[in-house]
Amino acid sequence: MSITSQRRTGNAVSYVLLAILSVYTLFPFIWMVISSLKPREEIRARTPSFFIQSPTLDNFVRVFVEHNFLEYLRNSLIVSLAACALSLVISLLAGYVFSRNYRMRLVQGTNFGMLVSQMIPGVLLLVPLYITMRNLGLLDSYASLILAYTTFVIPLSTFMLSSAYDSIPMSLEEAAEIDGASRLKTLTHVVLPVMLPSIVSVGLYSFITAWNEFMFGYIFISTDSLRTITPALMLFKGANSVDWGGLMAGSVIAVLPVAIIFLFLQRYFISGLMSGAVKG
Amino acid sequence: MRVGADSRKTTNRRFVILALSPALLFLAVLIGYPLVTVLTDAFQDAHLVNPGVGGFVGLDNFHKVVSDPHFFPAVSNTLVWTIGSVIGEFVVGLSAALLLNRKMRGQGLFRVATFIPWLVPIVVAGMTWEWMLNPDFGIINSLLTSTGLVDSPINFLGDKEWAMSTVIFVNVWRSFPYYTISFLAAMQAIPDELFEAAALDGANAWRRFWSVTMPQLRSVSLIIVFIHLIWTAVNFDFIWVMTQGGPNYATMTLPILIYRYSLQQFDVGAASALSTIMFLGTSLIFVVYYRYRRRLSDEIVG
Amino acid sequence: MKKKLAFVASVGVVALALTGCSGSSSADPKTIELWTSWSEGEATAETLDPLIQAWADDKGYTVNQTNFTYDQIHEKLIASAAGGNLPDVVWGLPEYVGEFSKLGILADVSDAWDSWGDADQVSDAVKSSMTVDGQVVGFPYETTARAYLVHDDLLAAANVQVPTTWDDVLAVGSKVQDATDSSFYGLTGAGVREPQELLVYLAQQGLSIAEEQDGGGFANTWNDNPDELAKATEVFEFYQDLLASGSVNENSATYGWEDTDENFATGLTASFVTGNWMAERETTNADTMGDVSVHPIPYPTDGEPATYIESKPIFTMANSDSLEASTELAQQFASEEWQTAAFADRSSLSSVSTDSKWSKDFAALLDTGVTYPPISLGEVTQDMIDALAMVLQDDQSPEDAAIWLGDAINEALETSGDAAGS
Repeated sequence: MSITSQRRTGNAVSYVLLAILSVYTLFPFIWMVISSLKPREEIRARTPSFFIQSPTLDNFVRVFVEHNFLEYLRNSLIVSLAACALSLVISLLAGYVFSRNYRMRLVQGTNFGMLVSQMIPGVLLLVPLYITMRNLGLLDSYASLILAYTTFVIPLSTFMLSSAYDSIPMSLEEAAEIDGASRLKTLTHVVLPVMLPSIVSVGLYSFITAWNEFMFGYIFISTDSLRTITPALMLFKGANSVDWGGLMAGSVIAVLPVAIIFLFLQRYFISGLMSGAVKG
Repeated sequence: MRVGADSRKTTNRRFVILALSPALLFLAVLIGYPLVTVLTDAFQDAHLVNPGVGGFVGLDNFHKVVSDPHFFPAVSNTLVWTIGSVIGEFVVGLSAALLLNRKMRGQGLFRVATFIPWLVPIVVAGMTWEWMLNPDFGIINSLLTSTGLVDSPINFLGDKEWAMSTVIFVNVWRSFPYYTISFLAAMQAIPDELFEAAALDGANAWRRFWSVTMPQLRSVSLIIVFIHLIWTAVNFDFIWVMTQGGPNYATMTLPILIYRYSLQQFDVGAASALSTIMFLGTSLIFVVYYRYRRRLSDEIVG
Repeated sequence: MKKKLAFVASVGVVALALTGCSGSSSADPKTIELWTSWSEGEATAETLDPLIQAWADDKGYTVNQTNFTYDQIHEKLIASAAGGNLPDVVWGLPEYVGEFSKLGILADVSDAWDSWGDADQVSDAVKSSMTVDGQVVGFPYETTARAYLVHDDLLAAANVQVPTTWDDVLAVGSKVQDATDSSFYGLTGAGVREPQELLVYLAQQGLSIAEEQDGGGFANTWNDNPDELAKATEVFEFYQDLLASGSVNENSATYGWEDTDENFATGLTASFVTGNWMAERETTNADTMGDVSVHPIPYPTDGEPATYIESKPIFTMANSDSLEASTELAQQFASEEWQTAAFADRSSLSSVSTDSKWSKDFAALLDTGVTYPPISLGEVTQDMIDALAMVLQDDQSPEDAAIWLGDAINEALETSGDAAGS
């Protein structure tokens, strides 16, 4: 078999596998989109169906007009972007030290602390974190959520970035240092550009964690105008009935902006695009 | 290491402290206090609605927790849930990354498709799956029966035999994209020459995967797997949204038990004691992680 | 290095402690924080919004109303109670009465109740469901009974009469299922409705989950009294027989209200014990909901009819800066004017009702209604769910389940401090 035909078979197999994978990942989302376009009578039909007899935008109208989803979207965006930026700065610094100075006791101690912090079940953080935020005077503010989400993502961000630093040869920095650059300058000018794919992936992780968080979103925030999108979604689940149409429309609205952001960022994960930088 | 002057060592140390201090400050202020609370409450009679009791009670809380008939089943459920989820996530996540890393047309769309589950908030994902899996009006059972794949609807979340595998399946669905994204990012750092050299040596795709790709993914795999072991073990919302630990305790894990102690029974002491027991368990994971991590660092820094 | 770590940590803790001293809630006494749980955009919200606004303007207060789900309200209140930062007026569920009054966050509104002009319109059962140790802690803003709803067409198709007793139900067996492909009866096997339903069947046998004792405190007495134990055993037997006779869908052993209500609305279940919120289904499931009639819940031949009254209390928080105005606002929700405007078909006042079967036929059952005793229910309702799982899912003997539940409830009362003599 020639190289080309081998490659062609490989591609064909890959496409089939990717198609199967996409069905697995997209199925619930497609169901969400379909349901969000159905009138209530069809959602509550005895036999569920993929086909919509009379498609409607009522659910979306309700979500935007009766529930202030535009405002919730804005709040989520502010909180998530801030938490993402803050945590990236903090963990880019910490991760660098984790990778290059792992033998220092302070580094190992911090590493241990970060791991332990991941072991506390969220339920037990509820009351203590509420009291902390109250003491800091931050209840009912963006800051409370930004600080909490930043703290939640720092550990994994640091670990991931430190592993990304691991794959960058020390020689790169040593060369720069011999040229007389300071350590921080070496970091920002020489090392970080090479790490872009990892920074993007870690940034996405922080953003999405903040975007999707649920419990603290309603524990800290008691004002409608500051509410983020995930706790707002739960309002569609009433005490005696679930407004599936509204919930699904709201969820589609919560997922779409991030999916679009991702569509733009995904090119950073294409093999070869960044390899020039790595070699440079 | 070069023969460094003392001054270099000092600036180095100062840099390390400066670089770590923001992270430490955040952890100390926001996690330090809850952590201390958990560790002290475990030995106190801390009860939210029955404040008449109180004070140091030694190991009473631990005794209460361990003698709870649901404790040992919950431990084994937690192990099944954690290990099952992480293995599933790793296998699906890595396979997806390898597929998505091929240079082919349309990869951008496939990548977005793969990451969608990760973008759906857990509570919404849980509720939607629960709805879709319903035996009477769920779309999945409707498809399974109308295509003749099964004779009668399966009560995925209500049948003891199915419940645990179903929640694991849904958890894998939701969590594997993060593995994929991390593997994809790490694969960018593998120099093409390594593959070319291996190809010249006549290594087939399978050999190239094991001898070139996998070793380069060690560091990131280590972190992802260990952090997910911990996360999955302490995860609460997924099971809570879908089964609340049921049917009849079939999906009861330790975090659900902790929730029950603290927010249903208001017995914060018992909840803290159970968390402390979980700390000890997850610390074992840490020891293993620490060893590997150290070995890897040594290889890299030399 | 260890010292340094400790240093950094202690700086953090000190900073926290310092800000702790300076932080204080400086709520404007002219502002009332109100937490509700209604469906945005639906009639209740649309009607209440202007009423609240008008009341606030009239009194010179600002009312900050925010909407949450009941679960969110529950957890927010627990966190706020520990942090000492509570709202002023809150919509609650009957399940919260015992817990929150133990937490000491509910204001005693007995005086306001006594001088309330509409108080005589409220039934004793409703009032006592929000009375703890002789103190009234809430006003009822919404009261509904459970009823036995029947799809007449489905029963007619199977030639089955509407049952009045447990035996009638069991005698039907799979007859309706065979004729119409719909299950005959329904039961709830998960979630908040499951213990409420069990409460009804127990009450029909003259039993309660916890009885107030002479010396104060509560206790479950089934295991001290062979007669009561036998009655409780019969209840669990009934559940088991429902499954065995084919009267109910086998999956219902693990169904929550989301599933059971849906199945009744679509006609997959021919008859079911539920509430009058199903009225809303008449528009969305028009072709299956047209034939519904309302009946008393089937009861044992030697027992008595009973139903569950869900009477939701609106709480005033004890530490409110404007206690008097907050109590007045809470009372407004229960007033005849507001009840007529927003809760006409589920009012707590006997003078307020509509002509529809959803209001009239349900209200007719209120006299036989029971409520939860005012104890901390978190663990108790969980025990009730567990006991039912023993008979519905594990095939254990009904007597074992009854004995176990009696003991488990007493243990729960002990830990929560509700037990007699504690």
